[in-house]
Amino acid sequence: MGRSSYTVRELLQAEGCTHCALCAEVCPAVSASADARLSGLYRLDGLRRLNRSRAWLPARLLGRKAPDPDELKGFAEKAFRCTLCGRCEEICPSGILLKDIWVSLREDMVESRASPDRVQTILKNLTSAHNVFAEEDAERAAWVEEMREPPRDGYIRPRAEVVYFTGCVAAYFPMAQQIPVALAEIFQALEVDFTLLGPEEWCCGFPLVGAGMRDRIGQTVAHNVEAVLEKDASSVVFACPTCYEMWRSRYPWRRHGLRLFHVSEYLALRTAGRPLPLRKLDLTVAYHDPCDLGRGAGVFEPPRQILRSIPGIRLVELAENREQCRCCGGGGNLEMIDPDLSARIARQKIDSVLETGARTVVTACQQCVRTLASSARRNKVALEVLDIVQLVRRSLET
Amino acid sequence: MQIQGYNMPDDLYYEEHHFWVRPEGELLVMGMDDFAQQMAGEVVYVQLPFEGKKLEAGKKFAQVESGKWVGKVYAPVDGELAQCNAELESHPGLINEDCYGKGWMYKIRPKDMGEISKLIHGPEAVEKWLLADIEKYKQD
Repeated sequence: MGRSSYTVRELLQAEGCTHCALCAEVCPAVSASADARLSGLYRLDGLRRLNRSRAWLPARLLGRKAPDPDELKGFAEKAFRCTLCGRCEEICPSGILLKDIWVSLREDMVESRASPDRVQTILKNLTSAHNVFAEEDAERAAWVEEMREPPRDGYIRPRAEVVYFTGCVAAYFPMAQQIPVALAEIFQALEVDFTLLGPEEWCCGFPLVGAGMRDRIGQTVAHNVEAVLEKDASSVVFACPTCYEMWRSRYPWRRHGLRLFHVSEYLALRTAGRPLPLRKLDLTVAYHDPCDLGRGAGVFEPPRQILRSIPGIRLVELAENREQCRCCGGGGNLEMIDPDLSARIARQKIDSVLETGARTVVTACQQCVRTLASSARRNKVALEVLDIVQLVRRSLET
Repeated sequence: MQIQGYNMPDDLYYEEHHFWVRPEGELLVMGMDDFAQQMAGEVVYVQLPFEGKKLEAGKKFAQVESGKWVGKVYAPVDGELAQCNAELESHPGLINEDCYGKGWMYKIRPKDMGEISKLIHGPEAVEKWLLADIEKYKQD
């Protein structure tokens, strides 16, 4: 029984749906699966029915039965087949804060023992290994060894002005490891006093939130904050928008006087008065707004500002951009729950990039890079996928 | 040699994590074996470290990615990386299409060519090792 998972506001807002179906029209999971039961509309209906059946007295009076376990499992399966991209919330004319409701719904499904089995794997791996892939802590900064001339200290310094919080995807997935390598080289060119946390960096905790276990993030939050404070750092920089959003919304950073930046904000700020020496790149690029960076943190302009600052870059916009940007398919733990659906969403995204005429898509998220690059390769599409950090590094004169 | 649906050529040397090795002049050519590529599924990324990288037998020197699976590549011998198959940068699926041919991964300059004798080689040894691994992965 998980009705306590919801706030009063969420329960009231769930009643405010007008069934306009705009959320279904823009949902990437619905369009990729052609299954309207994955829409916000369907989920809100299900949630209302569920909660009414749980209200003991009215349920008895109206002859409503408690939800059947199999029915609940079927509903849970749909609740988890969602990238938590927030596009439904952005378009909802009733202003329902749907993303919060989806996270609470997942928590409800976990408490009701109806969630998919993979959810327990996420918990087990994060508890035992501090990352969702069950890789070793000691390997977290192994990407440094991929550099031709790695620094002796491996960028793990006793104290520094800036902590670069790498994030699990860039730390452990070889396809994304080129991003921290590029960023470390840019930081060196900018003479940024930075450090990594190395083995002391734990997963930011998002996979637990997305798995419906937000009440289990306390230890990881406390550990990461402590690790940053030990470095005497004043700022934390993220190339992962999800880590950035987690810190912004669920970490006590203000209490400790920390400043948080997505790398696009940080680079835009640092290079405003002192531009980097960038060489010309003759390239047309489309920019994909990562969901957690754009709709989540409201960061739209800094990445575009950086792209415009690179000589020779022609920036083209996707038909759906900024607040309306369509998810790549890599969010909300979907890749772990339903990899096929994640891949179908990615394929749709690739098609929308190709429609712009660009053959290079730039984003500002390591998971988007993985998702899109994997899709392009699987589908044998000649599309280059780059993080903005990689593009800046390519343009850097060294 | 075919073993339970896996093609394992007799003339190759095998590293225990399912990478094959073949002498080619002063170098060793290395790639993923048929068992590993079938287990991994569609390979979407192969790490191609810089040439000249020092290798130590048994130590990880690269990684391979297929969907949510990340595989580590261990050096079969001491030496240095002489060449990477640059084709894999844009076509990592070559490993699935032709793991013993166009999907080769690395060329290694061994410190001592004689070290390959420590690898798994010969029909009997290969069959025994592979059957044990098939059983092991069945249980996993």
